[in-house]
Amino acid sequence: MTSDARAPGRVRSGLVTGLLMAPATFWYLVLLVLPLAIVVIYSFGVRAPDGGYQAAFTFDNYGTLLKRPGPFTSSLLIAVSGTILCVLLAFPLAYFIATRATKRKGLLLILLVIPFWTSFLIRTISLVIILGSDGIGGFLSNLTGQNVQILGTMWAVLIGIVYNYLPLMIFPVYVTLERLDRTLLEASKDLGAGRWATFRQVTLPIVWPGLITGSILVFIPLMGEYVVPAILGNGKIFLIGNVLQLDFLSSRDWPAGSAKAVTLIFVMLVTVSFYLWATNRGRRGREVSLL
Amino acid sequence: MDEALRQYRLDLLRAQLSRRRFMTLAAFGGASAFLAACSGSSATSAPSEAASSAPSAEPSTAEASASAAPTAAPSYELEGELDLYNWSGYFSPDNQKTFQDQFGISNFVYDSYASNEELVTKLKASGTGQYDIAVPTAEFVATLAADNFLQKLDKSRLPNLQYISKQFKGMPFDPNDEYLVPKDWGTTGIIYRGNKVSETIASWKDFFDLAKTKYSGKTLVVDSPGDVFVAPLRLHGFDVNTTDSGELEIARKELLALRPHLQSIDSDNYPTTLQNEDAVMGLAWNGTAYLMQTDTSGKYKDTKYTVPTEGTIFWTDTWVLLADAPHPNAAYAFLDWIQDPKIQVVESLYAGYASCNDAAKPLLPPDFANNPAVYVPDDELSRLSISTDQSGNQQRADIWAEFKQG
Repeated sequence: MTSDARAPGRVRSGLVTGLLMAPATFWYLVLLVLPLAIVVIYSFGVRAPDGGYQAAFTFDNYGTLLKRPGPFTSSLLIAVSGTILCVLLAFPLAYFIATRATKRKGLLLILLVIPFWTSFLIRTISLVIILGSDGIGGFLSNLTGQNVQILGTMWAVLIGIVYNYLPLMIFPVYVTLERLDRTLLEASKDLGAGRWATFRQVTLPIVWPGLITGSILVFIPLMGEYVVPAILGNGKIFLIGNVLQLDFLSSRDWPAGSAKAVTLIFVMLVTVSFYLWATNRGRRGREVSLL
Repeated sequence: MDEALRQYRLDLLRAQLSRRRFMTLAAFGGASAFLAACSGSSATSAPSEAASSAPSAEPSTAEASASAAPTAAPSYELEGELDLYNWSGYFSPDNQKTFQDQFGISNFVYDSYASNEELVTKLKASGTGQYDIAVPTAEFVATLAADNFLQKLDKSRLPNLQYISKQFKGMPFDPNDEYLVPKDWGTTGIIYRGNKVSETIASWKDFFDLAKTKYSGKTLVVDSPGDVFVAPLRLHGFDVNTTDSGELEIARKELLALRPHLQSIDSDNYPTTLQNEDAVMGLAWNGTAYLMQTDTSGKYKDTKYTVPTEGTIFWTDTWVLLADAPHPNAAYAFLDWIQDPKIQVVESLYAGYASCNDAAKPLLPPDFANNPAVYVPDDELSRLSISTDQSGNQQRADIWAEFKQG
């Protein structure tokens, strides 16, 4: 009797679960798995005479890619240095907001969010004016008496990237710091640890997940970044995103572009996996030492 | 600062637009302001004045008030609707109103695209039957025709094609003129600021020499391989459409030698760059020079444009009738009417590009028709050649990637 009564309920709950999961599954399959499969298939094809894709099976697209790894190394360089800069800038600020800015905390957080109310593009384009010959670039030129060009250099791209992505680093770090129990720091002090030792052995392990989340949030989009170099690079900074744009829209060589896209995904997979593996290993080691 | 920001926003909105559209829009936020600058009178009266003062190519009486003397009414029934698929800001709103009034087209749909590739993609993805008329650049007509996206034109319904200049007949993309009606045309050449560049730049050789010396870091090129390749190829006397690997290798060396001296490689913001004098010389499109010269502020009047002596390319935009056009009669009426010389005058002054219509040229204000930045002078026409789409050439693609990377 009882089992009979329960069965429909179980079916219904299974049905509800299925229904609730359906949109996400659909989203995942149709908008991620399927396009990815198409990109992988295209990457083995050849360019149709009028551009686009023509079915074939060749590794040429990957072969030619190795001949010119420049954009990949530039992208990697920008992504790594951008992430490191974001960490260096975000950590002190997040620490300050979480621990010192008692009453102004809400205000400071809102100030961090406000830039997001403006379109990413508008913010980046504003930097063209700020860094250009009517802005900092012109100011430095007048100051030094030399023609200082910031736009069109890696520095401009780096500034634009850090400016746009910094909040993505600050918030995860802030959230972990917010949960930091101040009594732990006092305990550490009582037990004779110096400031540096406390930071290294108490604060850092607690903040670590936030730093990793922030780094991944910043690093992954940076690898494919297209807009910032396109706007601030004066067309002279050639990252992997710009290469993809060129392949798909200008030379209309979809297979070549697909091969690069697949390679980019692969590079990111390897980099992020290695990063996670390395950081987790480091953490585990420290936990063991703490024990 | 506000003004600059507004300009950049505008620029960004059309970041994907190609040269003509971009420049058309850039200076034509207010078409009337531009026309006032160029002709000294108001937008609507300028063309009609020019039209009535010149010996008219159109025999019918041109009333001073009507900026467009009607082309003979078609003998067939019109549909009352026309769907145009065009680059944005590339068809005069005044003309649109005239057309609608004259032919009783109550529903005129104007949708826009940002690149030829987008047009092709859209047609491939959603098929024909949606639009009547589109405006591809000539080299895309062959592709579109081969894919059965176009209808062959019934020339008996287009008597005004008689005004089309010989230069635009029998182009390699449509050797028998079966599909296209030329719209307007322009060239790739050298723009420079006369205030800052004391030398007279006449050739690609001058361009390369000065870019690598005196104007190093003050020179730009547009971000468009089809145009940039022209300079080194013509410098050495090679065909602009060459696929010869030896010739392309020489072009590669020239381009890589030029690369460190460039201020930017950019098609979107370059008019602003030239206006700010961040760059004073550039490989770019003629329309920019014209729009800078006629800018209402008068600050860029010193802008000069050169069709290099070694030769360069020209492009032509064309009207085509799409297959399965839902309103073929209205479309034919449009295609014939648009080549009416007086309609062409309004059209040219709006878009800022040279008309392909011989009869329209004498009707245009002299400062427009005789401006080398708009119309290439007759004795320089021999310098022009037609470029074909070479974007599929792997060697060119590789060289361009290397050039971009620097």
